[in-house]
Amino acid sequence: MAEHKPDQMEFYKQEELQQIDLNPPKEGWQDQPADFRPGSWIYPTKPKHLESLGMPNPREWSPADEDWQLPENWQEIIHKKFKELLGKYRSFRIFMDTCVRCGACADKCHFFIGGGDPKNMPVLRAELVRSIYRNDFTTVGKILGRACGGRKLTMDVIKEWFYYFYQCTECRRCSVFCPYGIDTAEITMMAREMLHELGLGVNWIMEPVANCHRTGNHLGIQPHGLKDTLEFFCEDIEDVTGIHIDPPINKKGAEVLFVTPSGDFLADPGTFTCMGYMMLFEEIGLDYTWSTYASEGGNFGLFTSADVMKKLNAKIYAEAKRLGVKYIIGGECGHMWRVLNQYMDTMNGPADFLDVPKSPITGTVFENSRSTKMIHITEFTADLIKHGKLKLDPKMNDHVRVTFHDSCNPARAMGLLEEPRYIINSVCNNFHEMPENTIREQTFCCGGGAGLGTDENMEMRLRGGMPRGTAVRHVQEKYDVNQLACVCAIDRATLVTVCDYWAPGVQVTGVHELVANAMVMKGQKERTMNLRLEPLPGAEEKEANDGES
Amino acid sequence: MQVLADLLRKNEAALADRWLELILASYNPDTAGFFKQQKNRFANPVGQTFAEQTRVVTERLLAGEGIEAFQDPLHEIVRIRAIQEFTAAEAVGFVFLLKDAVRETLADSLRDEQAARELQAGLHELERRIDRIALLTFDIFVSCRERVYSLRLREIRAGYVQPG
Ligand code: SF4
Ligand code: SF4
Repeated sequence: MAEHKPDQMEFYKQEELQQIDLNPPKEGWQDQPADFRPGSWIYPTKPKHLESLGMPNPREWSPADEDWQLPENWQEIIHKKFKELLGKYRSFRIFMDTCVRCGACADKCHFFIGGGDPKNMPVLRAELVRSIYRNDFTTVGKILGRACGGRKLTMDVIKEWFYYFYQCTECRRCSVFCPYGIDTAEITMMAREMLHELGLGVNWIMEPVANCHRTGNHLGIQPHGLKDTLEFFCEDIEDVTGIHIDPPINKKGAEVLFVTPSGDFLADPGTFTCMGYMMLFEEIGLDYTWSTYASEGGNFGLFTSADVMKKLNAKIYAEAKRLGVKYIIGGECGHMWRVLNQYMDTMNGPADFLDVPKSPITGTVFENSRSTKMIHITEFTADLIKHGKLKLDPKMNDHVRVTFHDSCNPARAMGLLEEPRYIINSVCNNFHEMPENTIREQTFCCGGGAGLGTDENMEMRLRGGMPRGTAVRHVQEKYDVNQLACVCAIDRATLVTVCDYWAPGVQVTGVHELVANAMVMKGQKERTMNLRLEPLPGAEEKEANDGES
Repeated sequence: MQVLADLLRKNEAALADRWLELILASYNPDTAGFFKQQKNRFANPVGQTFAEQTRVVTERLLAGEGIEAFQDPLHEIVRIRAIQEFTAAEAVGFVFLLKDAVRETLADSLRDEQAARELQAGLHELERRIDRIALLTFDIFVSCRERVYSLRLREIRAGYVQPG
C-alpha cells in the first residue's frame, strides 16, 4: 500500500470492495492496534483531580505516549475488576454471553454512520471487551482461545479500549435495535470503570466530577458566584419584562428544591433556558429554592463509575433533606434523568422522607415519581398548560420555526417524548418534526454526550453529530426551520457546533426559553425583546412609529 | 471533443457509479458496503451524500459547466471527508479517481487506434478540467478545516471547555 498515493487507483482497496457483506467483520480486527489520531481522543485526567477523588494511579501522561505508565500488575488489576463487575451485575454477564452477532446494531451508531470506523459498530465495540471475557472467563474460551473469538489481554487492547470507549456517547441507540436488548452503553460503562482502576480517564469528565465533589457543581461555581449569576439573569429578565425577581436560594422549608445542570448557568443558550425556569416559577408563585450545595443536575459520575455516580446523586437528596422540601423538580438535563430513572432508586432510594410530587397549582400527583420524588420540568409545565394555568401567546414565537431534538437520555431512558412536544406546540405556531428514523426512541445523539463534549476531539464529535446534523438540515431546507429545541444542557452546548457545521443558520434553544418568550406574565410591560435581548420582529418599527407620533 | 462528450454522456450513469465505487474503496470494505447499500439518507447520510453529489459533479462535468458549478456539490462531499480520519491528500484525492473512471468507461473505444486518436484531444481537455476541479477541492478542504478550528476556538472562548 505504501508505494501508492491517493491519486492512484491502486491506493484504494478495490479487490476488497467486491466482497462486501453487511455482517460485522469476523476476522482481522483483533490485531489492528488503535491508531491515535488527533481529533479522535480526549486529554487524560490531570493528576490533581484523581488525587482529590482518591482514585488510582494519578500521573501526567498522554494517550499519544508509547508508555502509559501503568502499574506493573495492570493485567491482574483489570482481571480482578472484570470479575467483580461480572459478579455484581447479572446484566453485564448476560450481555457478554448472549450476542449472536446478527448485525442489527452494527449500522445504528452515529459514530460509525458518520465516520465509518468498523470498531464504532456497537457489536464490535462490545466485542473489544467480550473477546477478553471469552478468553479469560469462559471454560470454552480458556481451551479454544482465538478459535472461539477470544483474545489475550495485551497493552494494545487497553489502548484500544481507551480509544473506543471514549468514542461511545452511551446514547443507547444501538440497544433499541438489538433483538436481545443488549445495551452497549452499559458495556462502555463497565469498560470505563475498569480503565479507571489503572488511572485511565479523561479530564473533561474527571475535572467536573472533582469540582462537583468540592463545590457542588461540575463547573466549580461557588455559592456567591451562583448567587451573582442568578441575580444577573434577573436583571435581564427585568429588562425584557419589567418584572423584578428575587431568586430564592438555600431557603429552608420551601416546597420544591429546583436542580438544573450547571451548564445552564454558564453559557448561552442554556442561560436563556435558565431565565425561562425563573420566569415560570415567578409567574405561578411556586414556593421553591435553588441550592448552592446541590447546584448540579448533571452527574458525570454516570460516565465514571457506579460509586461516583451514587455519591453525586446523593448530594441532591441530602440537600432536599437538609432544606426540608417536599419534593424535587429537575431542569432540562439529559443524563440526569437516566441516573434518576434507572439507577437512583437502587443507589440511594427510595426517598421516603419526601412527598410524592404534587403540583400546587393543578393538584396533579406525579405517580410516576412515587419512589424518586423528582419530576422533570417539562412534566410539570405540560401539566400547567394542560390545565390552562399559563397565559400564552404563541404569536410571540412566530419568527421561530422550530424542530425538536429528542435528547438521548430523556427519550430512551425515561420515555419523555410527548411532554416537550406538547409544550412546544402550545407556545409556537411553527413546529416541524425531523424524519421519523431520527427522532423519539430512534433519536440520533448530538455526538458529545457521556463526557465527549470537549473541543480536542472536535472531528470525532462532528462525525458523530453528522446524522443529527443531516436531519436538521433537511427540515431547514424543507420548512425553513431556524431553531432546534432540546431538553439537555450538553445538547445546548454541543448542538450549536453541530448545527454550525452541518446546518449553518439553525440556532439551538431550550424548551423553557420558548415558553418564557411566549408567556404573558401578570404585570409585565409590552415585550419588545426576547430573552436573548434581540428585538422582536416589528418591535423596532413600532418603536420608531411611536416615537414619531 | 464532441465525439468524446457524446460517448461519455451515453455512459453518464455508469461513469458516476464507477467513480462512487472508487471513492468508497477508500473506506474499510464493511463500511463501504454499508455506505453503498443503505439507501435511506438519514440512516446513511455519508453514502447517500456521496451518491447524490458524485452524480451532480459528473453531470456538470459532461455538460461543460464552469468551475463555480462544482463548488456546492464538492463542498457536500469534502465537508464529510474533512472530518473523517484522512490525511489531506486522502481527503481530496478522490477527485483524481474521476480520471480513472473516465478512462475505464472509454476502455473499449480507446482500444481502437483510430478512435483513440480522435478522442485524445478531448480527453486531454477533460482531464485538465478535472485537475482544476481538484484544485478547487483543495480550497474547499482547507475552508472546512478552518471551520473546524474556528468552531473549536469559539467553544473554548464560550467557556464550554474548562482549562484545568
Ligand atoms: S451507545 Fe450510542 S454511542 Fe455507544 S455504541 Fe451504542 S449507538 Fe454508539
Ligand atoms: S443486535 Fe444485539 S445480538 Fe445482534 S449483533 Fe448487536 S448486540 Fe449482538
